[in-house]
Amino acid sequence: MTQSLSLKDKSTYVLNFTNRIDLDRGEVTLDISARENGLQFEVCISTWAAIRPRISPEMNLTLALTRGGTADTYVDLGPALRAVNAQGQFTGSIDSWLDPTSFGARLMISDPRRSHAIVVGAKIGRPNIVIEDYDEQDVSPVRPFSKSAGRESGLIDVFETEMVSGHWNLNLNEVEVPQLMVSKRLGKERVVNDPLIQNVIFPEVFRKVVTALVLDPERFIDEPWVEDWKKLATGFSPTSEWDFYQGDDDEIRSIEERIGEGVAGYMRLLPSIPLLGRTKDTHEDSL
Amino acid sequence: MRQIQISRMTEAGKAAFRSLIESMSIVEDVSERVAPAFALISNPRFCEPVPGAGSIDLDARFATSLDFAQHVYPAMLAAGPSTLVDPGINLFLYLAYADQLLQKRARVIANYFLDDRTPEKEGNGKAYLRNMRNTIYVHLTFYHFHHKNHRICSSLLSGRPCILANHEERISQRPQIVSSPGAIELVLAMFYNPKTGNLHRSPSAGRDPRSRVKDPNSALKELSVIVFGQCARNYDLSRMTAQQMFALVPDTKGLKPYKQHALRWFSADVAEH
Repeated sequence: MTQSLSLKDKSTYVLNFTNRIDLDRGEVTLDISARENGLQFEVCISTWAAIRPRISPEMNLTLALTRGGTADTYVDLGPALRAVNAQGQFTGSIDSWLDPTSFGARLMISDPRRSHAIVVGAKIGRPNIVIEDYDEQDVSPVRPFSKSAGRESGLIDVFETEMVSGHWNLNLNEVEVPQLMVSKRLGKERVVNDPLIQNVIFPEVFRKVVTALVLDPERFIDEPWVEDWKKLATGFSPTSEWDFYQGDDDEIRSIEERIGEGVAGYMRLLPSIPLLGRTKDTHEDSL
Repeated sequence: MRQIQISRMTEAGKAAFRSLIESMSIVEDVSERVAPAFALISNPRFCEPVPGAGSIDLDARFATSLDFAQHVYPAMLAAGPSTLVDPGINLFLYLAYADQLLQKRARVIANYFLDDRTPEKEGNGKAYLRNMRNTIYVHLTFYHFHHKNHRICSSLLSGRPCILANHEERISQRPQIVSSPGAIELVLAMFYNPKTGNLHRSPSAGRDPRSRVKDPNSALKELSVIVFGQCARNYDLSRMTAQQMFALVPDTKGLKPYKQHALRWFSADVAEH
């Protein structure tokens, strides 16, 4: 146990004006187990005897559940003295909205007579999770133990360049996501903003990418974007399976026809364009 | 009235959402996204109902983010509060109300994906979550913690559902104070003008041309760093009142002018009671 003498705020040290005592990580443990209606926790303060003289009856105990980027959840655990007198061990349940594999915790004993200044504080870090008690994973409407999501990126990058044959081309090799290279004459801005241009180019991009993945899967096996594109294309497959495009079923249809069905589905995601005006019939002109 | 159960976008649905935003990142009329968005949420391959969740009305109109939260939150809560941090459900809501929750120019795509870490910058850059820029997450989180506090809800959630006001964003960037009614009330008391629904204007610098007054955004940043940063280390923010925090606000050049607003806010409080 160390009594911190100073706080650091940017480059300035200020006095620990609340005389807070900080407990080391090893001095407090938090065990979490899942229950049908939420989470059950058990806190153990091993150095409870040492902090007991600092605790008076009106002081309160709060557990803060923290997770980067998400609002802290505070759990009011009532009078601190009651917990300390129970040899530093106490249990409770919380209706937490957080996945316990991804949050940390802080314990605070505060004094209401001094504007709730923290008298004793402890950073607990990650809780110990008792997995055996958790058997509702498959039927639960939410996924409290799911893996935290990874990085999400776009499906395609658009670049404007002079190094393109024709008005656009696609680069699929050794890239984070497929790169759509467009000529300066066409311009990135029109590709991004103009619904007509998008309706002309994007379905063909979809067709080229899916065709490449179907015909030559080994070539792209290590590319990071493949899984995302397969997920997208699977959504437009009539069987909800990627295999549909590869023709792994009894139906006799060409691969072009199968991918064409996916392209038709993908087109519904694109902005609608007004009907184009018809040009005069050349036959009428000649009359 | 078209009712639909709260649903979650599947992995294919998330990819389709990205594609939709990319292909329609800028539109002339926000309603242009409605048809493709509806096609996505009606497709069982992209979207699956959440067991136990309630239903929402696709035709509902929301003047403020409070209206939005009041309509959506009970349906989500029926399946547990963790639905609020579920990325798939969050995307479903963006699609269900695409014309009201997406602006003409869509935001950076990572803002729509909860728990999406920005790519690490080269050097000593650190990846961070962008949840605080996700409008649905921020509004529903505020409502989750403060729905019983009418004053906070009506002040904080008074803007359109697709907008994240400066003071909302500043609060959401500091996770310790989002669930603290005292901290939020202090922000509102010092910076929020109930008459305009926006931040107070910069106070007059007076006659002395050398005196410089901070604009409300910079002053709000100072409050967040100096007061809330220190308070989070030394005080139990969940139990502190706005007045107790206000007593700790230093009379710096940046914050002092805005303390006058807070005094009026608190005196109005006393008059009400």
